[in-house]
Amino acid sequence: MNEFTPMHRTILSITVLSIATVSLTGCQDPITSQQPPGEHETHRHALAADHMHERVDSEDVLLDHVGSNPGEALIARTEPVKEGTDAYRTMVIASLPERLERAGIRIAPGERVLDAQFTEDGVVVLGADHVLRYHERGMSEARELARNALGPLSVARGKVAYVHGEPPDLVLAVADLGTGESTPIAPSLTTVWSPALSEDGDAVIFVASHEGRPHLFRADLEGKLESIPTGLRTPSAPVAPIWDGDALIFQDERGVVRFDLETASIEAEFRGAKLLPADDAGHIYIEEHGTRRLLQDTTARRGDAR
Amino acid sequence: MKDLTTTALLFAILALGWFAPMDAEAQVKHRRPYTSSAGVTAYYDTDGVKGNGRSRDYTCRGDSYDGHSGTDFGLSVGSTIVASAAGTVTRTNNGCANHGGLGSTCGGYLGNWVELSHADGSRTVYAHMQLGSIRVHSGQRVSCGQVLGRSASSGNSSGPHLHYGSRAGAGGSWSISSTRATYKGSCGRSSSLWVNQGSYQGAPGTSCQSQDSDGDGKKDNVDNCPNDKNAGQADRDNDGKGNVCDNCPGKKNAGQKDSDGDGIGDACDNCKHDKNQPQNDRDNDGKGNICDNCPGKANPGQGDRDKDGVGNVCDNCPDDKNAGQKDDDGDGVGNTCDNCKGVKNRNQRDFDNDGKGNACDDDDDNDGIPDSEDNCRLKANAGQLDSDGDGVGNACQDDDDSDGVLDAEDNCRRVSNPTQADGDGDGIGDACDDSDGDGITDEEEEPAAETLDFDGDGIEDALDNCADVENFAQDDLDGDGIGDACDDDVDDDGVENALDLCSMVFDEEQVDLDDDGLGDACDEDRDGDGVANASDNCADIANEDQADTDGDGSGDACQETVSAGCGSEDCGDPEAWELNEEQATTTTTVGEGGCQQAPGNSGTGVVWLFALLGLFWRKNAKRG
Repeated sequence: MNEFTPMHRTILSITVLSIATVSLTGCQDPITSQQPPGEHETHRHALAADHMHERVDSEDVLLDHVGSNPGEALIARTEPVKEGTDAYRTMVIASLPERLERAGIRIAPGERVLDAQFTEDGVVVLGADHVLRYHERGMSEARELARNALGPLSVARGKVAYVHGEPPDLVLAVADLGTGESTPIAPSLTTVWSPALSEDGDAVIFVASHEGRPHLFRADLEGKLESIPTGLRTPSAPVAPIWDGDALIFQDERGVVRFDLETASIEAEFRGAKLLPADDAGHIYIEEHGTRRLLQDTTARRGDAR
Repeated sequence: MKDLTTTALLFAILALGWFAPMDAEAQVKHRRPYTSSAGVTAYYDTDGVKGNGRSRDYTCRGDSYDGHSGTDFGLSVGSTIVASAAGTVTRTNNGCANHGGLGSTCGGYLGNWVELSHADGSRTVYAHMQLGSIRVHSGQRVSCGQVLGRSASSGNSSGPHLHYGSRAGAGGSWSISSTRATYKGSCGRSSSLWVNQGSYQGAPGTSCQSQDSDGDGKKDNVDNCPNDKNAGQADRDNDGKGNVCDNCPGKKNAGQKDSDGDGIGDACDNCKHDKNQPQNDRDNDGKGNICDNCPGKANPGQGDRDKDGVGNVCDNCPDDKNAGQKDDDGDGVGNTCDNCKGVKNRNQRDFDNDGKGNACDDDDDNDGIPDSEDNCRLKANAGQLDSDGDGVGNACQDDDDSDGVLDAEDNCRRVSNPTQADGDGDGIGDACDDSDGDGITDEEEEPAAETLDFDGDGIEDALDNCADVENFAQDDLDGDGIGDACDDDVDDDGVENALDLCSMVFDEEQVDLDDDGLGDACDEDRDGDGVANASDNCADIANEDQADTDGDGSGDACQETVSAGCGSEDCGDPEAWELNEEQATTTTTVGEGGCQQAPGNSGTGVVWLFALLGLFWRKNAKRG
């Protein structure tokens, strides 16, 4: 990893200035306090594997949110899972943001989902039945986008990226929320996971098993595919990576990293942290020691991408 | 009643239709995919609906979870995972942390995994394995029970376990419809895919199916190629491995040892320790290019005197270690042994033996006169005598006085006397009788040392076979009257000394078998294998190891025979012939029946035959 970069310092400064606390009703680890910036872990070298303990019991998950208003968060609670199995992380919607209700979008509390993400005009929901549906403002019925789909979902500019199939045969696709049509991406790669759409929604970075190892690729919707020099760490968390233009911010078993795409190196690492979904304004948050903190503000450059 | 019968019949047909495809595929049966005795934590969900929040195992009970497409076995981290049946590794993934946790997407949710395809087209997958533990690779054939790796909790996993998935052959992918239950039961299959499925929630049995993986009619346990169709079971070398799967079908190698893992057994691999498939061997010397110490020139013995990894025959310094073969002047002689590094001088001539090649020696003959001024550059002539003043020293001329009479015959070498007049008949020409013209004959004069013995070797010039070069011994190898010291072709073989590969031995052909710059006629180790000709059991073929299997004193290298690939029963086999042709490159002969025979043996036979015929003829002649 490179030296402590100006970009990194900027990130930390922004963190100090912009930390917002949000109390999420029903969350096991309420986000309540501000963490001093000095406690950020910015490791320059790969760290020893930090085992993520299996969550067998239920927990509350912030699926998505708008701004920093707790009333606009989409919260779900994971279903308990038997230890020593590989059931998908299925969640039950716990609370609906007011904006969905205002928009007439009805997702009943209690609905079982694998993931859900806000869009400009509604919400895409990946149900426990592995059907991907789009609930659009003003539409009485949700539109079915895909079957046998799996998350995490990455949403940008009226598009959603997802994988579908049965492991290990998972292929990548991007659905256009306007037309409802899906475009297969890099169909030659048959074990794909953790896609991240670009801010303009025209390209996607994802991980694929290539020559027996996880490898990063970049593809556009026209079919152009590029390999990205990949280190030992690749996205693997239930929350989709975020592609901010210069870097891929993602979570793996050890924590959150900011992977510089230009230099193909890890620019910053937050050990043990969890990546939270970015809000609609372009704020990227992480959760560290039970505290939500702003990792990066891309508002100025990004505009309203969602 | 009739309606009832029809309905029952219809039901039976439908039921058959439902189960038949499942059983038709169930050719390959499986063993327990691990070595411990751990039981099941979650069975395949047989209710066929994903996302309904319910699940049903093969017994119609609920020990499964919604949408589960395989069976989870509760293995602890590090347990050994094995192939449940023979097959081929189709894909693997390795690179996920050992503890992925719930929701981890790594490896497409399966973490580190191995996928196998089996003889009936079905596939199995072994998921959530330990990082770095996978011991097989794509394309590798595995046998039933062969270790694939170890267990962990990588990918989407709520704790250490093995997810074992099975799918039918049709469809070509792990589609929802092609995954399948493996257990026989009221809500499962009509016949189990396990050899012994064991008790409910227990472990399946560890016996492998006695099957016919390649479908050639021979069960695996008696098939000499269980994964390759070979109904005839042909096994040319009788080593228990059928030809179609034998890594060395022409030589017995029951162990199939293949040290470099290139698919060619050591027994016939031309590079045992270096992967080389195909076995390219440019110089046909039996050593593959990638391990040949001289891939461009045949050197079966691989002789390398200086042990620098470059065989003698192509080493630019065969007696001095120089693995890099650096040769700045590009003259074919490496810097390490080049007597003139900066100047091309392939022949390395060093007339004065001062270690500095003529090409870069300022005084080639070491006579103290620089070459640029020396009137005879290659013969020491410190006096620079030039009797006829033609600029060429006498030492370099056969007719010092340019009188048309060669020095050897001239009765007065240094005074021009073309008529050779010798009034007193004393053998010394008149011109020399009073060579200084002072009226006193030379005989009466005090002899002048510098004229009578120019080179000071104690031999009078008139008698000296090399008057200008000190050569007390007067050696004249070829007896041509010109001393070796002056003779440009000492051995009189028509090749000038400077170019002669054996300047002291008559050697018109100039053959140099090992290309070491020394002609065979004078090379004590003609084949360059490090063993002197006199002791070499095969002096003209490099055979450093001097192997002599039959102990007849003639090395194996000189006796390549049919034994390698042409056994008595296989002489007509074209493949066996190909093998022999490769192995016997120089000295083997081909017998009438198509088999190769050792030259020593056939030669002896012919001699005996002629001897007997001779005796018979003499006996008859006497009688006649």
